[in-house]
Amino acid sequence: MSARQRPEPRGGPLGAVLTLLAVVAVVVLVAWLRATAPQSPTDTAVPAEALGGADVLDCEELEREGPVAATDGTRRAPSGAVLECPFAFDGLRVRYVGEVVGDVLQRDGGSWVLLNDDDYALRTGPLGAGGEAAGTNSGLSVWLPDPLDELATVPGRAGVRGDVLDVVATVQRADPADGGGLTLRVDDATLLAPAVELEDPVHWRQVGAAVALGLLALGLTLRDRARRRR
Amino acid sequence: MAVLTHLGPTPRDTAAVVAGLGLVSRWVGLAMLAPALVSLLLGEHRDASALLLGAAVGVLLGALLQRGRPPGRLTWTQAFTLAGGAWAVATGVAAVPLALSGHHATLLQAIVEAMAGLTTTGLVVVDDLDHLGVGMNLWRHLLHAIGAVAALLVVATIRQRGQTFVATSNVAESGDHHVLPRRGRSVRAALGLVVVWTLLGTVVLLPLALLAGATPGRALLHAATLATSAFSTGGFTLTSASAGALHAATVQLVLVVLMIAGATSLVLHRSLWARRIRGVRNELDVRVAGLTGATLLLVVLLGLRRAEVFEGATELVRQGLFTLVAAHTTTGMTPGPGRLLVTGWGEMAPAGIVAAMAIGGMAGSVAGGVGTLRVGILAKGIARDVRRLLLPESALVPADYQQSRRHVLTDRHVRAAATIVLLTLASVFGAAVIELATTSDGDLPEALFHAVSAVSTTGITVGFLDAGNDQVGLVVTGLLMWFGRMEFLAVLAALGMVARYVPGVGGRG
Amino acid sequence: MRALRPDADELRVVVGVLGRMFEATAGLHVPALVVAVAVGELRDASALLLSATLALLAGRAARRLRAPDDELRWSTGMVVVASTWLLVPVFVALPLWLSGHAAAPIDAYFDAMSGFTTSGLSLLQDLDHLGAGLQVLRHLTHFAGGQGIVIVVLTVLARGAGGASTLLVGEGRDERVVPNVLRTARLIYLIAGAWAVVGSSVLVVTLLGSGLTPWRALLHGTTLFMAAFDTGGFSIMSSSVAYYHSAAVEAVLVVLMVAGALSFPLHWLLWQRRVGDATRSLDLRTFATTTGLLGTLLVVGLAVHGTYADAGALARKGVFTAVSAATGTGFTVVAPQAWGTWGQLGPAVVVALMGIGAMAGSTAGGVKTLRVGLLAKSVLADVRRALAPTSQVVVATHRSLRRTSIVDDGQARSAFVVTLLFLGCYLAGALVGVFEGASIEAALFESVSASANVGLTIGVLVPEASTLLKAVAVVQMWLGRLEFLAAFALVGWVWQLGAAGASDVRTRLA
Repeated sequence: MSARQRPEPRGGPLGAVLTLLAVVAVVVLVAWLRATAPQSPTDTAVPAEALGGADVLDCEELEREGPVAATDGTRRAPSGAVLECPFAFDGLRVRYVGEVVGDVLQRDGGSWVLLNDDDYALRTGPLGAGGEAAGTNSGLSVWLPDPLDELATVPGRAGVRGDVLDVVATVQRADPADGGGLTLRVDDATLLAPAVELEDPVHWRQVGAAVALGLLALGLTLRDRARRRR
Repeated sequence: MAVLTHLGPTPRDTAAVVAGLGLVSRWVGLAMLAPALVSLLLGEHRDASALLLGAAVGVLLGALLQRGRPPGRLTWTQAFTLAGGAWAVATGVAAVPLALSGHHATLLQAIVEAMAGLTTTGLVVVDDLDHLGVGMNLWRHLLHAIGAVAALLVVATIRQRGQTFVATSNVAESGDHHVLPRRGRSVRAALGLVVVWTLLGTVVLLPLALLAGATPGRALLHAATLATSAFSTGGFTLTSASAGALHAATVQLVLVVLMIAGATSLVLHRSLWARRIRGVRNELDVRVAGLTGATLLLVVLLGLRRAEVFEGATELVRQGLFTLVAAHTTTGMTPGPGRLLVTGWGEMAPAGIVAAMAIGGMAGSVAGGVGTLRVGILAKGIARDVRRLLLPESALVPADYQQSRRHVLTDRHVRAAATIVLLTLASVFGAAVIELATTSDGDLPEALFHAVSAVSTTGITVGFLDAGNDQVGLVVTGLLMWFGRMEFLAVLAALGMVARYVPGVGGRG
Repeated sequence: MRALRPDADELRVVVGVLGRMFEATAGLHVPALVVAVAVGELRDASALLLSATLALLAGRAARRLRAPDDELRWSTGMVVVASTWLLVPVFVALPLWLSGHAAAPIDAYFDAMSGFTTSGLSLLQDLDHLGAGLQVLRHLTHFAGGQGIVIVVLTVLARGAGGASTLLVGEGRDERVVPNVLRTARLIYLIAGAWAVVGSSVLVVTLLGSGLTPWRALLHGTTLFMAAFDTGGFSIMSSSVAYYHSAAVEAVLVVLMVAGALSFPLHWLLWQRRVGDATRSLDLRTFATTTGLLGTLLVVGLAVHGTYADAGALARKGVFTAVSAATGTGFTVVAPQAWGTWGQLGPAVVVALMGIGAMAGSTAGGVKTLRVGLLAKSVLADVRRALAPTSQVVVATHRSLRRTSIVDDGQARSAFVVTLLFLGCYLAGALVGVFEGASIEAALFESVSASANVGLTIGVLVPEASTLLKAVAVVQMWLGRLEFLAAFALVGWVWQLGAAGASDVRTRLA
């Protein structure tokens, strides 16, 4: 039992209803803002012919025909396939196309780069300014020796589709230089498509809602604080 | 003073809990202001407005719930109801900016992401992580920190009631109308631990990140996020390359230390801080952690060797050790793409990883899993049974174990541990069955791996869940993470208490 | 705390009882010998005679120790049971090895152990050409392992009734069907005998109907009955029950398998027409629930995966396999190579059914549904306690036979310990299988099948498998049959015997 007499709390059913309404309102607001989010008109797709079309290596083919199928660096290997059957790809020289994301880690004699070849990189473009959802990212770590790493200048970020590189590399399933990680050791690279900064139209409704509710929140907080001091 | 024979919650109870929920909502909202500022400065206007909106929603909801009155001191019953409800409120508020980031196909996905953050699971649920705004990414990591503080707060509070409570009960034994001790001490302990270790980690990782070749701004980002994620045993990272992003052995070594620190119990931290190192060796959960860690490491290394995954010993040890520690501490970062664990590691090593995840970290830490203390209690229970069989007279001597001080091992202990283990097993298999039945090309070992990863709040992502499309899988995963974090019965206790607020179910309302 | 060290007297008691076991094993060879001679398999007959003689001699030698007529202590009883199951298969392994059908001695011992533990896994090669005499011997081991050994022990030790009565249920707690243990044993004989007569006759008739010649029908009928009712799973043909291509045979076998999976106290209740009491037993209810639910899941899984186009085939294969797995029999209508066509969910459900097992106090293996039921009640009680308001006190109860008892912490703990040991055994065996190169699903399947004494095989335990894998499987079958505690008792007892100084004991024995 508290020593001080506390006033009986008010509210009860009314409070519950109000809270419920508030929650529903928030959900509706969020859904509406998502639905009315402006899309970016920028097209970031890399043309299919440049990627070599549908002629990509996959696990079944490698299992059937062996390493010969890779034809020494002329056929493209998608990151998904490499991760699905890493033993089959070990040591093969393949072609790989991907967007630079994250960091270009310049170190002794070259750079470590993450190249993604998912839809966000090569087709529909990054999420955030609209864009189609297409699952998680998929990519491979790539070692670009000097001077090839100079091609990777702008990594992908929010609102930026980074430089797309076209490389010829050897798949190292357990690369000692990377402490056993799966890497691609590049010996030839070209810049397929330079970085594209997406046009990002401002979502005015969202800004408006944020400002309005923010001011309301600020106001309420100040009022409560003043009240408590009294 | 009259003894309350309480059948249902009083208006005072309701007010206290609701006010507490308001406080949670407000603070989660306010926490969004820092990442919002970062977004603004970087020109990520959409994310900035999303985070500001989220902050406003949090504060407004908080104000509505608190009605201008700060909560007084809570009783234990109220506190447990609050704990259950706080998770729901925090997740909801935290999901608002995520839902507006444009990186989630459905609202459900955003909610599950928020849950993955707050439960310190770290499962990758977001779409296109590599193009996510910096501010929004910082918010994800902040969720880990908040979740860690909350978990430690619960531990610190319960500890003040008594050590036995931690081991034998899985939840509030029954209602209790005694008032909680002053919360200041618990808050300081929890917050202090997280802040100190995270800062320490950041400071150590920063030069290492710079050496690895990152630009100064990015190096700071990497250092801060990795430190937060490792100590909170969460597992979120800046990019999809997880812990391999910096390609640096030194970084991974520091992360190993941070992860182990995160999986160490609050009590042990305190002992180590006070230089009381000698007694640590006898603690049951320390011994079990050492034993299971060493054994499973051997299993993983042996399995990798057999499957001829790595040629050199250094790669073998580095990858094996890091992944095992990440699994055993239920952090869930991987040195490379998580998919490789099930496609390129043979059969035996992944099994060891699953076992490590299931066992988890120490009780009373941020880590999840069944807990090394429980595993130890079970092992002792079995040993006691066997010994009783061989030496019937030994039944007269009670078995005991060490956790800060010696406790007697009773049937109650074993039973409590058994309940959790059984519920964990049942939920893992149930989840695997549901997911296999609803996806056309499911793989059983992968389904089990994923389920264990979720329920132990580890979060190693092997690519089993298609977060954008698989709604059932998303719900199942979310439930597993929630139940796993709250150790099953706590969820039910909270639900039960909430149910009593419904007129008719409870007493006077 | 110093234990009562195993002294000379206790050793003599154990060896004495073992002697009786060996003699009984010799007796087991007799029907097999008769059949072998009748059919003209003289080489097998001579092997059987040799083995029987050795068993008899060993038994006689052991009995000469003149064991005191003491009451059997519970822990000594455990030791007896464990060592019986370890040593008796040696005698049966001998004729199997001499027949030339076993590639290595361990293969022969494996089969013998598989027979006595009513598992049903087999490493014998060219089973389809194995002599009738040896086939009868193999199936008799099912009978002996399932009922015979326990009954023989009871009747032989009827004088020490107070101690012996605890051997029936290895927990030190027993469901006393009748006050007099001897009457219990005779009752078991009676019930089993009745089932044998009726069951075999029905089977023989059905087999005649499916096209077998009279003598073959008799041979198949009797052996199939033993394999089904004792939930063993050996069959005369390598294609198991698929050989008969008969829905009628499968239906009869389903009934017999379920009968074999019911506990003997339950049989007694049914015998007495006390059906109401029987249906209230927790064990039975749990068994019905798990088998029903998982069986349905299996059929659904098969249907979704599209394994069988015809609904009839689906139901038949699904139901039969589910019952075979749940009762721990191990008859199969699916070839080992064909498990792959069952998708992912199907075999997983089968593994679950095998792992859970059937009723305690029957010949089935696995964790036992009684324990599953107790644990479920315990967990539910915890859940209810979590949900309940302050004033309620939640207590879980369970119904068994005639009384309602409380599920207390001790019972829950005990049930859980054994469950955990089984799970550990399943996983450890799977790990060894993976180490030997099998996929994790196959290794787990085989490991559970061995530990739970089921006998379904997915192709991992074959004659070409490594000796390590075979040895591990033998240990698993042994541990599973004894439900661990008896095995631990033996190990501990032997250890202490060694520690006490074997020579010391030997001089006192002379």
